[in-house]
Amino acid sequence: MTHYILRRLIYAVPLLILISIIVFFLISLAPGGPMAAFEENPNLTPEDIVRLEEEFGLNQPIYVRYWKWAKRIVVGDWGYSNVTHRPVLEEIGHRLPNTLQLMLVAFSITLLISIPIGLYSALHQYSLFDHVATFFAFVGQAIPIFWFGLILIIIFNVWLNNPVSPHHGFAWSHFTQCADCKPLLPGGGMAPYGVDDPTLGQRIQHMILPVTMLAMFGMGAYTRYMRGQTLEVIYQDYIRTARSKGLSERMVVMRHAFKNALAPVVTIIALDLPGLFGGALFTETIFSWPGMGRLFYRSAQRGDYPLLMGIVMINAVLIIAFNLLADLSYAYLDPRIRYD
Amino acid sequence: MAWQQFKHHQMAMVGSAILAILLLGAIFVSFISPYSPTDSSLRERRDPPSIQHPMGTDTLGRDLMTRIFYGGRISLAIGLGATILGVSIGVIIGSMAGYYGGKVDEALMRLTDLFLSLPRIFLLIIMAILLREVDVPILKANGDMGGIILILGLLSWTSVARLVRGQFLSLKEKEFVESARAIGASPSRIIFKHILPNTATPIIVAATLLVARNIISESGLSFLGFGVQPPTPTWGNMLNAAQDEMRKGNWWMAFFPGLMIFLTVISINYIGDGLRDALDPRKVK
Repeated sequence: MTHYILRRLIYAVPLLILISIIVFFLISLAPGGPMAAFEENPNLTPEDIVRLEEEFGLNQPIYVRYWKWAKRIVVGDWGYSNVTHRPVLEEIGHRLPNTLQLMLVAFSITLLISIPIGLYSALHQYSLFDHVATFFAFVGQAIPIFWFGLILIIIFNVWLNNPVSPHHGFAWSHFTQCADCKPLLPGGGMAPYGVDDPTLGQRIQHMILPVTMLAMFGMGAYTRYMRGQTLEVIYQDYIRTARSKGLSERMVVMRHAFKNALAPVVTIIALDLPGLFGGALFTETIFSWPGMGRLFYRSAQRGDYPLLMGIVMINAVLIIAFNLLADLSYAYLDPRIRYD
Repeated sequence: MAWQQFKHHQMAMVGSAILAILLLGAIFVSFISPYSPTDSSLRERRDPPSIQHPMGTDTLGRDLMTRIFYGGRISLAIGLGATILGVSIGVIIGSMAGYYGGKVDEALMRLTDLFLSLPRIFLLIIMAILLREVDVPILKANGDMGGIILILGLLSWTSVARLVRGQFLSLKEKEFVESARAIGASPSRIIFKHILPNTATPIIVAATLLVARNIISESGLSFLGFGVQPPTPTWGNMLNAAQDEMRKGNWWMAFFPGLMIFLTVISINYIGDGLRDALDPRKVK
């Protein structure tokens, strides 16, 4: 097993190098690039610009620049943001925990809902529940999550009021236009405006809508995978054997069917998980959540290429790590597979 | 035969009907709608849905329904265009890998792995901002439409390539391929005339689903402001423009463009599902 992990880790290295080459070359195509900020500075003469370019090594061929950049990446020097002039790793480090917090909660909710529904659906194939669940899974797969986020804001932030707010009680703020009504749920940020140290209640309130939006990501797909895999397993001979030796239905389902159906689902989910960062990009942009996705969005708007590059690299590392995790989880859950 | 099967898939038929209405609307909107997609009307700004404006008006007083069908042209054209490009690349790479095998297969499959490992939406955004600086007329037409087709196509061929490769691996050992080779057919003739037609079914199903995926990607990019640029309307950039408005209570500007994306995608997904059942030779009812 250790041998297999090592081999996969070694295989991941050239993949990462290739991705970094692609992204580096793409970004070096950008006009102005790192010099744009200096060219706009009226205090610098064209000679100064040339001198600075030489100092940064920008007049060298691209493969030399890539080599220098790669050497710095390895030792943890990821350069500085074009806009804030703070180190890229520091900027990302500030936001990554917020993104992970959002993703972790949303993803747990997705699994807690979709896996049991998929299982139950398959065990009661063609029942009313199955039809309804399958229909909603299809709907969930087709809903653009950014639109879902906007709808959540319209309903829970714009239309519905907080019932415990004074005087008016529960009212549709859109129609009643009361001045002191508060929205039912906050529609952005991690804390009320101007509050640096929010209470746990405030934190949770601010998480409800973005988490709901992000939890939609994958909900439909995982429900359908789980249903499909369970159906695949449930007619196998070993299930019949388990039934015929008199095990309770509960034992048959939990011990024999569930675990075997879960193995391929776990693999697909692990392969899918990095895609959640893409979902988080939309969630954080819509809900002004100070995470890595929003940082990427703002950097893209400002042409902050060192930061864009850093975020893409972090994502690439995570994708490769999750691919490895997918393989390992499969080996763990399916005893027929042993790597050596 | 296949059509008989397809007809029995109720949701696929409903999806086809919805998609047909959307397509007809997108094609004939200029004859049907009394409004222009670009001319503003200051008297009618931010009107909620009414008889005159079934989906309301936007901040410049333009009829939202008219703009949605014009936007549908762009969104559907991008979804289709990017899919054609992606499927073409995927078929070429997949058939070469599957047919030649060995080192060619190894290299092309590593390339596919590489593209699968790319952080997709992040790279789409980087490519889209680079695209703004390129000055090629065909890419710049209709607010960057050509360029968006190109970058979506470049990042959507991997699944088709794997699918085609798998089909080729099993088909190339069959007798009909061997006999073609025996009578001296060239590799390109064997690939395109003999093997490829036999892989059409799964490719058609995958391509159908890819159209839906590309429509979502385009609207996502445009929603963030990195896709098709206004004044060319697409469902995505209409949603982008609606973000501030909906917080003021003007819900229709955000509701209808997204509803269109949703209806299109779910219709296409059901059609894909229906096609899969109808074209599956093992599944004859």
